[in-house]
Amino acid sequence: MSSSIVGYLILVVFAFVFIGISSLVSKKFPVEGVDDFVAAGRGIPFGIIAASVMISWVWTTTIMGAAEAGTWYGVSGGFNYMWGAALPFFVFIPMVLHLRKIMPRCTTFTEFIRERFGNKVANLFFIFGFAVVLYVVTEQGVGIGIVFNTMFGIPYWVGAIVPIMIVAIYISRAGLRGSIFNDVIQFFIVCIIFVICIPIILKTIGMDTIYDGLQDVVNNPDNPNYNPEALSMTSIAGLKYGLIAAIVAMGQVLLDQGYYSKAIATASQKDLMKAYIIGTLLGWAPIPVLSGNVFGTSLISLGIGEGAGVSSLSEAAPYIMDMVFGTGIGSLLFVLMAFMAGMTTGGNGLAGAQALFTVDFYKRVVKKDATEKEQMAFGKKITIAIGLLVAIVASMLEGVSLLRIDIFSGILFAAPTAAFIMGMLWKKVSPASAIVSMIAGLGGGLIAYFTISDPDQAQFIGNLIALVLPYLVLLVWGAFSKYEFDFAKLKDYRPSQMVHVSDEEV
Amino acid sequence: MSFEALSIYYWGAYLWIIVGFLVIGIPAIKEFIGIIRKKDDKEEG
Repeated sequence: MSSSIVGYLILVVFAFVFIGISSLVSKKFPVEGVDDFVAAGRGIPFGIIAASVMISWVWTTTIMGAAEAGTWYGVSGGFNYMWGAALPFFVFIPMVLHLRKIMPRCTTFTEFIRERFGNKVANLFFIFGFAVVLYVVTEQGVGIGIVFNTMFGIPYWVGAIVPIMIVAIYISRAGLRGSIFNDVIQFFIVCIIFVICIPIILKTIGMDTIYDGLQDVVNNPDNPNYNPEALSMTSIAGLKYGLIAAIVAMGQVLLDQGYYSKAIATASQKDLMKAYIIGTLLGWAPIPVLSGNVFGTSLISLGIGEGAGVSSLSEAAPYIMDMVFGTGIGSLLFVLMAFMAGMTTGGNGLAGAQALFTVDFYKRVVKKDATEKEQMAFGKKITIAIGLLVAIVASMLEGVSLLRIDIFSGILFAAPTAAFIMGMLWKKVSPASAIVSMIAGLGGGLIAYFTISDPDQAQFIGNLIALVLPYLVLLVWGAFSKYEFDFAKLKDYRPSQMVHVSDEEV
Repeated sequence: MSFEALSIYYWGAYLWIIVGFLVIGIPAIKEFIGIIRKKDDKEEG
């Protein structure tokens, strides 16, 4: 069987499986209202949420990017990727717990912003939230498109469009509950692939070979991957990389409604805290560490580098899988991992967009007297429309490096996070100061990026300014302002749709 | 980093994912079955 037929077969099988599951879920659990559709009835327990959080935070880049970090920074690469990308969750978890406490009937983060700062700031955050979804889902489409194109030779645009449309259809049909149930199935598949493949790879290559190879990388200036810090966990370049990863991921977590929807869907505060901490620390965190170590450092220990065995170090993970398991089964396992990572992350993003448009857009902008049935019908249609838009954009990005988009996304999405965090915790943050802080962070970050000549420094300082400067603006403004917000009124917030919250929360 | 430390680091990360898989996977399966059973009971009742 030719490899392209295998690729098409995978797409067809997954289309049946995913859309089949969404049909079963929507039949077994008919949606009872807007709250059930976008927040899965707010009764999902710990284990299911932990699996869902873990797998939706595994991007294609969590495997391929961490593997590449292992080739750049050696043994510290995967670890630095891990702590950098995990850090925002430890800002998100107390934030979302606090949000559920002060505004129990809130579903979307833009509802909070609207009540806290008014329409102008909320509309800005809505745009940022929508942009995060577009960026995240597009990146998954591009990643899957590249994987299918390089591994099976099927046209890039087919590999980019088909998976995005599969996700859009199943999210549109089954809502957040369908997304979470699908996540659980994929959590098991990805974990089982890792649990089976890792010891086989380490045994096949051998720890001795990896160690000796890394010694050569450290000591031999003629090695194509020469790096004196490859066997050090305290590599400065690696630590800096971790810090940039944290800044870039901060906005991607705090402005992604998908994570709020899952947090709101969790049965209790206790389950929410447990699910997010365990899902991140025990479920997700070992994935980038293992990818960096087992794919990344294995590759360089074998003397393989850019132009010396692979055309790009991004190919570390598929190269090692092919080498150990043979091109047939190795390719298949790698594609399954990348495909599921992309599909679940894309699903999380689209479920978030569905919530934003269903809860915080339709009745306010399109039809003020809409029924919940009309709201849900709109939510379903808009999910398909967003899926189509993203699919078209992703299909046009063939051959375009995502690195530049990544850098801008860090600066763009980090700038509003200070207004959000400080606005939730401090009564003296006013709507005007929120807007000025965002402009300052965004402007400062972009100026630094364009004026600093060293590209690494420009990226690092640009991202850092976009994250930190807004806090300074808010602190100084707040210290001299008489503005005070009354948080107590958030407790009485009642959205237009019926929302069921537990006695514990009200 | 010594050979021993590297081995502990790599195999430790492997143990880490197994622990995570079990700590999340076992309750997830139990809860999943519980939700389906509850729904079936509700439909029958």
